[in-house]
Amino acid sequence: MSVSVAGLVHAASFDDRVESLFRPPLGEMMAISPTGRRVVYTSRSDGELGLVIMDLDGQGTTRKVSVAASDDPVVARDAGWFPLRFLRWATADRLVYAPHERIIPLPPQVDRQGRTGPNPSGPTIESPIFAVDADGRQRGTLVDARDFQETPADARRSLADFLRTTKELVSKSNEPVAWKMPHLDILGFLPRERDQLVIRTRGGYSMPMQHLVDTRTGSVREFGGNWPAPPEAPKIFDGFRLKVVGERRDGAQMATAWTDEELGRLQRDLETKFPRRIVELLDWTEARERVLFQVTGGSDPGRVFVLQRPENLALEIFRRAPWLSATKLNDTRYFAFTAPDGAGLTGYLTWPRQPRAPAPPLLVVFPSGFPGRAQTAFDPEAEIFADLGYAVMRLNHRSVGGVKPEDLNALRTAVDRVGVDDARAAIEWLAERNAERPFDRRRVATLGRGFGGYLAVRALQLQPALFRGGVAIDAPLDLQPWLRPADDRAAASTRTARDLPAGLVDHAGADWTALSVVGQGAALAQPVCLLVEPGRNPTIDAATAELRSRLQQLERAPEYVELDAAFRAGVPVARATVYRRIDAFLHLHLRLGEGDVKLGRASEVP
Amino acid sequence: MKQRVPTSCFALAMCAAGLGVNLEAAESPAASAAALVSLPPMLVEESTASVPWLYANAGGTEFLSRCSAFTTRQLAEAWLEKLQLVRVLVPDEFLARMDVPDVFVLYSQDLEQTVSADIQRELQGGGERARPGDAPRSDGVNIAPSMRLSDRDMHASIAYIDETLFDAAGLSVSSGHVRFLLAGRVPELPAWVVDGVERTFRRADFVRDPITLGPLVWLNQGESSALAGAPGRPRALLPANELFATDAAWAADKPNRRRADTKAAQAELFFRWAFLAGGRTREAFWKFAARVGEGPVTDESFEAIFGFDYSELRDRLSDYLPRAVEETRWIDPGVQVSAPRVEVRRATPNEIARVRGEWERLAIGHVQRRLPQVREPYLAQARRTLRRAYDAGDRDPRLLATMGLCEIDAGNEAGARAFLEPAVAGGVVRPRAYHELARLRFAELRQAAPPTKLFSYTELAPVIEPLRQALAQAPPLAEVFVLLAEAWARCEFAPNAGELAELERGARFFAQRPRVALPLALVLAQHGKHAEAAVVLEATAGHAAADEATVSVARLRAELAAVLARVQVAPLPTRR
Repeated sequence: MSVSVAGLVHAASFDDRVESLFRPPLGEMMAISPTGRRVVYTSRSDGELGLVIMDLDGQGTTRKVSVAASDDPVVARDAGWFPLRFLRWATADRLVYAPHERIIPLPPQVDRQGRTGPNPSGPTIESPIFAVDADGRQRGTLVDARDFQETPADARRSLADFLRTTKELVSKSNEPVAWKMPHLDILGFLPRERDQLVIRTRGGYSMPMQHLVDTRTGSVREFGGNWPAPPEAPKIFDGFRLKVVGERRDGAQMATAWTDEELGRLQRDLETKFPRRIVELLDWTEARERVLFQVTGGSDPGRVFVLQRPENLALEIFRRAPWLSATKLNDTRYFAFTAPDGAGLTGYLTWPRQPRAPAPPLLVVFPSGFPGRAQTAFDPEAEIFADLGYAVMRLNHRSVGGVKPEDLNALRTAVDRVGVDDARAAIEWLAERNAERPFDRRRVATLGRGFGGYLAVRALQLQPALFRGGVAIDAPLDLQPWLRPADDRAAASTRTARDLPAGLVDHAGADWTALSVVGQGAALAQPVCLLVEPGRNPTIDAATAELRSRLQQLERAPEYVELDAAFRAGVPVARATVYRRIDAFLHLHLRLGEGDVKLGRASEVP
Repeated sequence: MKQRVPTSCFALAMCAAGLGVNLEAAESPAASAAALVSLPPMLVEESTASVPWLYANAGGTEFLSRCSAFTTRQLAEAWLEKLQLVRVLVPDEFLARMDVPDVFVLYSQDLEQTVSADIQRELQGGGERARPGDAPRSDGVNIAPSMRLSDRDMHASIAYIDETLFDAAGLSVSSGHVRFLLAGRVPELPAWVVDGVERTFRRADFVRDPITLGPLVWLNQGESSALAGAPGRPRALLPANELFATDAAWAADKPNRRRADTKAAQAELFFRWAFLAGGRTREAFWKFAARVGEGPVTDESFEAIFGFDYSELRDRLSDYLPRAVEETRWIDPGVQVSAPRVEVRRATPNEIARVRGEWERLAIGHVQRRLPQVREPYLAQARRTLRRAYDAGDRDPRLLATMGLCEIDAGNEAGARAFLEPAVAGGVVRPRAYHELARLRFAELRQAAPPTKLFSYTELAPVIEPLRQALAQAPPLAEVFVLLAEAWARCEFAPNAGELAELERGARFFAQRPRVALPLALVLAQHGKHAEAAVVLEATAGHAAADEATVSVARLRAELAAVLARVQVAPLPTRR
């Protein structure tokens, strides 16, 4: 197959570009020490998770500490893909961190008759909590779930049993002794003794219990206090003042509602310093004279700063993706406007640094769920398509901040039309408001994943005069079986893949045929590329096959690309191959490079 | 004992040109802060020296020299060439334009001319004679061998040259002189432009290649080296809205040395980045600089010019910083027009008196500020020099204007008018002369009338007309606009459209000076131009309290609003 990558980019460099754009950014988690002298942040490379400890008051020196969640290198590597569940400074010099908890079920038990049954013990829980000094020394495991392994109360029948550890009891007993490992919840540090970590065990045979772990020695003692568990996200907890200070709010752009007046004021001050960016206060010192914050919303994945309040200076401590040259990234801008029906619509427009033509083609990317999460300011895929010369518009659903009552009727009647009409409104608005950056109105294509892929194809059916081609990845082309899967396997995969409140669509008045891409197959006159990983979701496989068959009968066979697990896993070469296929498809059907040509006939669907 | 600080030909040439690091700039804050008082050299009378004065007039500069013709020509031509190189970095429209020629006095170490006997006596009570470059005296006074002094409408330099070592090729324009040229530009440029360009000049070598830009120094050499070695090193840059904040806003800020240092370094980084990027970015820098000079700017106005916003600018500068502290860049000056051959000839008595007298007049103000007790000898010397030509019958308006200004500077306003009147009548090119004459006339007019009396235009014409003539010359002076506003405020007629436009022009030129903008806004409001007055106030509000730390910006605006409300009276009839 011929590959055209804007006619400029060589395959190898394109693969490298894909790899670098999708590389996990630095600082997925970070923390500042209580005195503000140091910052720690996570760094991930080749699946290995590490910690970078930066000294702010010295020469800005950094020290890297590997986070090995397990002695088994394979396990450690797999665990490296998960974020840490805890990363905080206990004291100015001592750091505590905990990898993702790993639960390993024990094999079924086989009795003397050879019958298998559930194992009364386990599962094995790997939940280590580590500590390390700021200089990288004194690194080790403070505690792990195995340290709290328990047997049932009746397993200890003699004084000797009571004197044995659980492990000894299990191994020495003549009778099989069941055991359990509890989960370890980290509750925080004692305010005036921050080298004492408060944890809670739960899920064993005992009642949940709190313990103090000495972060210097790892010694554990029972803690009589009833230490409150810090609230989970989106609440923000101040570990020094032991109170909730704010809450993250989902919306078109991330925002924080601070209940703490001082932090609210700081937020406003920083937003003045970084206009049109998203400022996220992440952590602060005990006296709040230094505040760790992140700024996103520009063309790169963001930067991390420490505000030095006495000097009123924001110290940039690292870029989240320093391997990406800011000058080679495409310009991404947030937009917000009011649709004709009064709804607030938002999204991002990524403009190619080197457009294919003075008026580049426009790729409209639908969000993958509904209402879905807000589009992130930096999107590697948008960068790739912009590299290929497309202007990329990523629209948020109108309900991204929550479904508004006034939208409910329209969404229940035709969730597809609402999304497609919003995309159309956004295109009109952009064309009008960005006269200095005109895109080719005759070369507008759609792209989406999952439910977004469904919308990408529905847009071709509903607005064929506007959308001249579409790309759908793992798209449910028939909503009814997708929302009501017939078999368990499909149900399981649908649950994980879909992000659509079923009640919104699945109701007595739902017109499933009208909502179905397959049901409206005859209306699909524009070229479409269906990318599917076969076997992941039977309902998607079935609907895709059905649509292909119908279109074939209509002599409009869609392009079909089988995805493999490597694409889902983000293997750069696999990703790059798929993006080349998409580009080739769009290049062919939008007749890119042919200048002012007449693209096929199209008519509006009533 | 004579101190020979400059030992190399290059350094001496710098010094001789009066443009190098050894040149004492009267305006220099460093000079004023130092405990040491440097006095301008005071050349001895011609009668005591046999070496003739030479004269050349080229490129808007009058050279009066007691060096050889060869040295004088070489220096003058080199000076003009180096000024061309300045314009490679700074477009001409951003440099001060002065219709009054600069003055350059050159003298050689061969001549036994240092300080007049009167001053010697005043300083030392008859002790050992001081000479240029001598080690500082125990009383903290010395004679600077070279110095630059300026007035509001012109500037002058005196340079001491060791002709045995002089090499014109080694001449360079000092960053201080570039600052003077930038700071004198009208409309006024914001401080970050002046700082940024001037600091870049410090890093520039105008001798090699011919422009070489050395690595940027970020805060200090140690920090710069560390950044060069570790590009990811944490660094604090100011957000753009703070970099572009007015001096008033900075003055209101809690003083912090690190912030101030960062601001200065970042101003340099911004100019360097924009200049070296070239093309549209360089154009955008100057467009934005011009825009800032005329009123407040925002993130949006910045984006309209650069194509990206404030936050992006901060990011780009931050990313460029590690390269800037490491790179040396050679700048192609493009095709330079060869400086014309400078004709050097013997100076006429008029030229000697006028040019030398101008220098000596400027010295009066400097001495008055630094060491008032020796002002009289300097004043006497200036009067003697100027009077010599006058007494010989010279009535050149330029000479008369200088004599008038000399008397003004001496505090003899009554005596000044006798010289200023004929100078102005003779159409002299000297904006300050027009202003001083108008000021004297207006004071006289007001003295004889009640404070609230409105004058007829006929009465005010002798005040207004010279001011308008001054505005036809460069540079437009802030005090001319202020006086014009005050005069119109006492006029029974409103200014016509052209005259109002003149007032508005002043407000635009000096938006950064509330003391200038305020009377202009008031007179506009008084004559019914409330919207125009509001625009003036809006533009200047951000600059309020720049020189009055005790007055907050908000308070001043409130006062201005209250004043405006009071003057909302029926407009006066407009003058046809």
